[in-house]
Amino acid sequence: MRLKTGVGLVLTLLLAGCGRSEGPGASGALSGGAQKVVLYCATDREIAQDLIDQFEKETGIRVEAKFDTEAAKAVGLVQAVRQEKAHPQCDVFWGGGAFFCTIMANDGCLAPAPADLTQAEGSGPHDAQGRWLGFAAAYRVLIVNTNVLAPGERPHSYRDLTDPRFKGHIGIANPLFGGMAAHLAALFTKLGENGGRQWLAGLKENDCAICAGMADVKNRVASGELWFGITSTIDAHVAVDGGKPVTIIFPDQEAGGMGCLNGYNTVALVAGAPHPKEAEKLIRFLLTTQTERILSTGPGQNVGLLPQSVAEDVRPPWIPQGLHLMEVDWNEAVTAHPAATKAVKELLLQP
Amino acid sequence: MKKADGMIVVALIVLAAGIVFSPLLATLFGTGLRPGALVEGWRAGAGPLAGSVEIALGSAAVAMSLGVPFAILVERTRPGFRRLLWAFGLAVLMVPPYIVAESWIVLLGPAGKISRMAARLLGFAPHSADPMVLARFTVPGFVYTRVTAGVVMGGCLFPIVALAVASAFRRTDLRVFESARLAQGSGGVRRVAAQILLLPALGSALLVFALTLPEFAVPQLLRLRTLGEAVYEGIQEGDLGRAASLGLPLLPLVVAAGALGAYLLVRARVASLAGLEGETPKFTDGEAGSRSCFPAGIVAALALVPAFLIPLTSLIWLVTTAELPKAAVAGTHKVLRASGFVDSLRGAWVLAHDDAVRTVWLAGLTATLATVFAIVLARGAARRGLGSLLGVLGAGLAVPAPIVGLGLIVLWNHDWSAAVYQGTAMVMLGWLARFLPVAVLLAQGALARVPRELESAAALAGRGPLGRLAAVVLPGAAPGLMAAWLAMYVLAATEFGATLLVAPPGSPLLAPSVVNLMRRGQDPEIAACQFLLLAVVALPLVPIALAGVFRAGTRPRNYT
Repeated sequence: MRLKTGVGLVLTLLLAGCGRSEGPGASGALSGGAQKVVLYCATDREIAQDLIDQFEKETGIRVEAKFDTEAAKAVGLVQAVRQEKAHPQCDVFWGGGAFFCTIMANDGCLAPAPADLTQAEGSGPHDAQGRWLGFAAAYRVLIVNTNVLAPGERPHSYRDLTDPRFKGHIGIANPLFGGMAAHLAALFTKLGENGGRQWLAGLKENDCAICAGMADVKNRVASGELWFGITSTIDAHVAVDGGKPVTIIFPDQEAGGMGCLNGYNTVALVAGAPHPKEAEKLIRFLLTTQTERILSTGPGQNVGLLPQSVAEDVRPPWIPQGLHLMEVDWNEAVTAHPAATKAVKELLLQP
Repeated sequence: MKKADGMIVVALIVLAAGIVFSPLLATLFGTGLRPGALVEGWRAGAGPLAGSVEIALGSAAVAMSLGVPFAILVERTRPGFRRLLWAFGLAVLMVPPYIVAESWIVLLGPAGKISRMAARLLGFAPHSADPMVLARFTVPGFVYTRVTAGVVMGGCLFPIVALAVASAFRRTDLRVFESARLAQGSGGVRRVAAQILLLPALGSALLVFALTLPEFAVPQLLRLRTLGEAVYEGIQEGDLGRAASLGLPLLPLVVAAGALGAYLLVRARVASLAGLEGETPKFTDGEAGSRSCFPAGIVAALALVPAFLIPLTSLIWLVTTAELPKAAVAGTHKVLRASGFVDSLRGAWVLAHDDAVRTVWLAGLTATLATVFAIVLARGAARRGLGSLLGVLGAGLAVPAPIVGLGLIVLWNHDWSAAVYQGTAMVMLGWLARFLPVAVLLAQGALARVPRELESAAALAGRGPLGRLAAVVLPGAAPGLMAAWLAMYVLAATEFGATLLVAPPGSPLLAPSVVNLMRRGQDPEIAACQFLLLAVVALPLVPIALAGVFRAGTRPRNYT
């Protein structure tokens, strides 16, 4: 008898618990038969949640979001979208940057956004076919520990990571994964394969620390373990805001320099999205100046890229105007990626 | 009838193997494995595999060095003190290894809070008044080495060895020791103790080795190249077949280590009616329990250093020394720009409390199902002489987390299985695929330690198989089964590699959420996130611990 009761209890728990979830933030008004959109969000939850809440409030459409972690490298949501290609579950992909969105687009995982949205991007970054649209910039900067490097000694270029003066005191995120993989592929397009390989050989020669991610680079520079490294403005701002002895340098700003890499946000409509109308509404919501304004004042500290945002100069006050940015053809970068990966394994990761 | 029972047992074993290995097989064969990918992958994975093996060997050695003295000394103390030390010892299992590794870097890294201070005190720091020279001083790093990775993983997993040794110790008829002492004095006691405890120590150390082999997060944080990293590379390059094949060399290693460990644990059963029922004569007098408290306390403190005291110190340090943000940024969910630990904790809770609740019940349910299934499987297999077959399940521990996640997507993302794929059952399948072997191996060991004489007596008294199981076997194996449940619960609640791939949209789980939040955190926020994860993982265990502390002794332990 007790055995039967136990089995019954377990089955009840299973049935009650394993059904489709209504999502953590689903209010009574939004749950039940309300419209919904499935969002795969590679942008950090801390940054994205405000906008998700606001979208739900404005439209009544419930957002079922799935977030990534840096610790999972690029093996998270990008791979999930690629594996789900035959039976897509996701409607909108937010984040990942132009590099990974280009990979997904080339794989046939992404669909063109409505033409008016692509046109509204103006000079903002976007895929030629509208399969991903860029907004809300974040930059790849040098984060420098101010306790160990006096102003005159500080680096000013990505190339300075190979300067022997800094041997043993520099770091980058593992260039096989995530944002640094995209960065390296972009550098290979700017420097050429030989130039890229030389840069990697220089890093090896300089005992460059291969950190777990850009946040890890920030932590190690802030602690003084490393003197400087490459990270994103989002991570660097966390350290500055937290009172760490660091400063942020926008690299390669000299005339004719290669420029600072722009690792902007991207949003994309997934091919075969189960909720296309709701997906379109979410994409329209994200690609607004209002959204960029929220992102610029929030933890993301992003700079507006949409035409109206550029006109209104939507940016955090600490990010200077008129930055010289690296021009990257992301299709070329995706093409250069295998050679870059091979070079990393041959030159940088060999003991 | 017996034949039908045998078929059911075989079917259950096949089901367990299906749960554990189907994601790997789906990744290998469902994603277009190229001819030659295996050879290619294994060639590329040889170097990283050596790194993984070295770390796992170090981990097993450390777990044995800490676990054996911990178990022996703690078991000989007074009951109250013993339970307290065991509570701390088991708490170690709840600290995720990646949090431990981070705390080692914060405190003992080249610019670590403790390592720098110690170097200065010992006179190794430069004698200069120039603040820049002082700031540039770093302690030559021992943290970013395989040895440290072994210490971190061994420190996290030493309670497994301690539990196995303590279990053997508790079930030993202590007249054995008394005889040895009468015959050969204390040297004889040591020799006998070594013979009795060596097998469980070795067996559990091999399990630690198997658990450490596929670890990815700790070596990555400590900048060490392992096979796990090579697997992630393969996935990033879109070659899932090669990525999955990279994990294959680990399988035989883990099976061999796990099977040998399980065999040694089962062989190590030195139980008797007297040992179980407390009819053991006094080994030492009552005062010895009090006298042994001091060495037990010292050894326990030492054992707790790597994976409990260091993370705790780091946590306290982060909380107390953090500077508050200069200017708060905007946004409702500015968890990571809050003003200090308490506000950060509140903010993290506001954002992730649903995740926490979901994690607790889902991990609890998974652990319960896994334990029940493991009991049925282990008992059925043992009765049909198929127990050794279960060792093969141990190979599942070697399958890297993202392979499990991606394999489950390949398997279940179809029209016919949409109901499963879109629900939290996917998360449970992921956790079962990763950790069911742990529950099975622990349950197998627990059931094997119940003497057959007791069950035979119950059979003679007229109880059927189910009655014997309920009245004799389960109560006798309860501590080991509880350990299986706990292990399954903690492993599931802190898993994020497969979880983030298969968790349904809108139903995030706590471990991926906390890892996500920690990424952008400043010191107090990182501390808050770590605290939240630890608290939620430990919360359901509080009633269990309290029950243990207040439980009236059912068996007199008069040798203490």
